[in-house]
Amino acid sequence: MSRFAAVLKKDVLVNKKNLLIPYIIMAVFYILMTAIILSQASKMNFEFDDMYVSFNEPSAAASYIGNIFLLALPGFLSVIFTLLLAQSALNEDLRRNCELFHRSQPISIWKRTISKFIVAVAGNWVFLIVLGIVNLIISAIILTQFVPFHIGKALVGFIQAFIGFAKFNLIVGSIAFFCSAIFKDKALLKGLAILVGVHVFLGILELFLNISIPSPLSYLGKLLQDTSVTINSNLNHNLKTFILDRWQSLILNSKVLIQLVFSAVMYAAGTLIYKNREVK
Amino acid sequence: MSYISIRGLSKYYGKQKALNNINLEIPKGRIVGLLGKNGAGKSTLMRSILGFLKYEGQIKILGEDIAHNAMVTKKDIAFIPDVSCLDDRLTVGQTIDYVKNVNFNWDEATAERLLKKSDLPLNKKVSALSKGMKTKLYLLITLALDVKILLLDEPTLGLDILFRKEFFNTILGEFYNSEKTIIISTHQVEEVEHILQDIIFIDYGNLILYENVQNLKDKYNIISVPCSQKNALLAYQPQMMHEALGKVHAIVKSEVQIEGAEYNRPGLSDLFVAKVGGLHE
Repeated sequence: MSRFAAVLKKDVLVNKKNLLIPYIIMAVFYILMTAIILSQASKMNFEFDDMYVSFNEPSAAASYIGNIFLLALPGFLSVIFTLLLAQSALNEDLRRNCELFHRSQPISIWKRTISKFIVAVAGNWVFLIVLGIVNLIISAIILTQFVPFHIGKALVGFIQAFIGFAKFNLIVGSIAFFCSAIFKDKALLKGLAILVGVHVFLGILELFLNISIPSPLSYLGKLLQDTSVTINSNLNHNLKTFILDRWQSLILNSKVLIQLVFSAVMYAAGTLIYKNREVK
Repeated sequence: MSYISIRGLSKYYGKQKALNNINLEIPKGRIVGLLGKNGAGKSTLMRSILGFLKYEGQIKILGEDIAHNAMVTKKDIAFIPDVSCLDDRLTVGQTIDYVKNVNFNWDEATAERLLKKSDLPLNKKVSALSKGMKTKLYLLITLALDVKILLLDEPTLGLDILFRKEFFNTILGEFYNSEKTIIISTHQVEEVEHILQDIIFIDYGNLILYENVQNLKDKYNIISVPCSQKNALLAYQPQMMHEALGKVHAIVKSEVQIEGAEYNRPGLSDLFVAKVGGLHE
């Protein structure tokens, strides 16, 4: 096993609980939803065949959109857990009094921090992929009861939703990681408080002194913007165009490069600050 | 070539000076004790050697300046701080695996031998281990490394006397040879002074003394005389003096001879108090 693989394995093991909680939440959610649907269906004497007509025409759109929306809750959970893991990434060892033990090992700081960053961000990407595949299977099983299931469109929906959340997680995760290098406790909260404070201060400057300085918070908002899903009302007829537009918005534009560079800079800056932190 | 060479080492915490212009040359094959009061700068010195702190001056490990090659410290030095520094989220087996896979100089045969002797439960979480078991685990993952220098910073803190004895016996038996150097910082100096070859006294960040233990002990005696002879004793400028059980006890140079006095060899703690604490009555 390579030394980096050993560090990565260790980081997965020490974060096992936080990485598994989203799976447990989703499992509980699915069980509850299934129980509710089954109980309501039996109470209302619901016939699944009734749905066939209404979903018949737009089955491709349903396969596509269905898999985007099905990833909404896992996506939301992945953001929360990415933030939780990233904001404590550089402080948890200190809090648990094992920083000395880890720093004594012959592993460069960069390898240690990239491993922590990967676990915080990519650990939740894995969760999204697993849930996306589960959703794909579930939606295939359900939709094929009523309409022809379009596996290709469903897969595209899942992949686009995944990329959207993956990028979002990468950016917010890198910000939380950077905050964890600066603040040893409640890192993200303190980082956000500073950003909001600066935003308000700049707003006051603009209001009273007519001095306009771009706010970092607004910049971050814009940086994250293109990952939102907007649905065209005529989606059934323009599905192909919509999907292409989404690809354009998600990966085929220069903003993606800025987003990646921004995340890399946040990671590198966080690591440099952490590297200079003394272990007293 | 010195294993550890320190020149002009100073360290500040804010405005407070934790180390003041320390100069040390520690050769191979020595067991060195590091003695000082709480806050004297012992841990700061060790952590500077390990490259955990920023400092002024120069530290060379095996001839390499650690400021330019931080990895040399980690490849050639093993470090045992207080044993509760282990990561308690890992199991014993995971901890051993992790250290084994990230270190180039892991000696599997030593690790297996120590594991057999230790009865460590591989599947148990570190958090569930007693302090004694944590010590065994820390010893295993440290002594299985084929390194040249071992730094021990109050490693037996909170351990009972049996574990403390076992700890140092294991280190002597499994680690030490003429090619290796050990630096031990401990408050329980009486328990290790029989194995120490050199001693460093440090106080308020200053290096008070760095000397061979036998030479140091040969220089002084503890003299005990009746209280009536106290003034006679004072004439010899004792390093330390106190009264107990109707007698005056003092540390004086070994040349001093007083008729009717009792002579004893001083321990390191006596000499430390004498050197650092000065004349006390």
